[in-house]
Amino acid sequence: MSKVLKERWVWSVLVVMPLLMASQCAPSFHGGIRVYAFEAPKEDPQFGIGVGGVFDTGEWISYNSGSHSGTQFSFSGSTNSNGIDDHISAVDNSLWYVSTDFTSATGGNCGAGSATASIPPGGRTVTAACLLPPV
Amino acid sequence: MEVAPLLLASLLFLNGCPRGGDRLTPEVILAVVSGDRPFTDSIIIVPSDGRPARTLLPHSWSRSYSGVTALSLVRPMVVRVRELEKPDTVKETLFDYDPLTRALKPWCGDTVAASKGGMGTLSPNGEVYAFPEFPSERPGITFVQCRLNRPTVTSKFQAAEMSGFQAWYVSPSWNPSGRDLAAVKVWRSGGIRGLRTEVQLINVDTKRERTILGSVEGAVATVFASDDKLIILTKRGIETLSIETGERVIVLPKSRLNERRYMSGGMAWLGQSDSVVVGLLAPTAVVGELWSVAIHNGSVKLINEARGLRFMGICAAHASE
Repeated sequence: MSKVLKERWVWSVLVVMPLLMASQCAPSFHGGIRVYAFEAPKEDPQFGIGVGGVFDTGEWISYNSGSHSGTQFSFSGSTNSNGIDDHISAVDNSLWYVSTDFTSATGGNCGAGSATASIPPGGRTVTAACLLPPV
Repeated sequence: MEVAPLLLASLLFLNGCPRGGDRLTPEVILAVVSGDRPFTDSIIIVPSDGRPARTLLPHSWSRSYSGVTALSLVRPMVVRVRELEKPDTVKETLFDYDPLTRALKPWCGDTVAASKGGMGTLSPNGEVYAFPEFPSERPGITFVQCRLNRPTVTSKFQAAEMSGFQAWYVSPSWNPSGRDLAAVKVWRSGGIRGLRTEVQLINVDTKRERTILGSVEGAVATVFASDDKLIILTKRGIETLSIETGERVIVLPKSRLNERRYMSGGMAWLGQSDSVVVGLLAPTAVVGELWSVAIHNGSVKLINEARGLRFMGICAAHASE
């Protein structure tokens, strides 16, 4: 990836998002990896718009210590119109290599990016943001 | 004994409490709240007066909810449901949800197209569901009218082709008469930097659009007020726009958002309090907030906050008929 593309990329993994809303149904398994892709309008980086059609892939790297859930060790898909792609069976309490590719969705503005994400027990969202530096 | 008249008077008083007519029926916000993991999206009901929210459709291990539009809590709603089809496959479908019987029924329209599209919205008379199509070179909005025991009526608006561009619509909003739909058109191309947005007004009958706010304004959300003024969230903040005259008035300057971020989800109009509701994300990014902003003076009321959750889609509805 070129330097220009790299500077356009901001990757973030939301680390702290404790869920307080309990389901009324007791889940047999509830976790996985949610990929969320968004982009800000040129005029205002403080606003975000979910981007559909962003290709995302994940490769499991290793377990963290402790128990884990899930059955999938790799995934691929693309985000829906809200910018979300859920991989509910992705193994949790593990280290993952997650990539997203905005190329087809953004006409080459953002390109591809990747990050290593530690997914805790119960799963997490990995957020990919295509944020352009101010002109 | 004087008990009987008192009892009768009490019963009459209870029975006489306002319950009929739109003006006296409390308004609530229906909101999709989203967590930090797959299948953590639920639909909640948020009273506009700050009382605690309650869950209408809770998520489970195999089902969650990513969209809702409704006119009242006693009439059928259109909800977007995410279901686990196979262990690793998620299916997204639209359903009619009857809050009285708590039954989900298949929606009448093309559920494949609708499930790929963006958040839709019901017309003021509740008969037509409009949803933005998936991003393409020729963005569109589909209008679907479900009819009991009669064929479904579908019509489409398609914007002019933008060769080499990708575009789509977000935050659609009907005007009170149901003749026009305002929406934010989002687009980009390989040759320009970043997303561009503009506000368009689409005539539902003629399927013609006109741009009412250009791309330099950075608009991201719209909602019509009862008086036909359009409320817009732009880089300047929350403002009103007169469709007739083009006059714009800032209601809440962006500086008063105090670094909060808007992350999609649209806005909702509460006619009884002349206020607009918007979902924001606090600077720490772990608290979703629902703000009600009075249009006449810009006063802000926090009507709900949810730690670890994000407000993905909101609409206003009456609590009863």
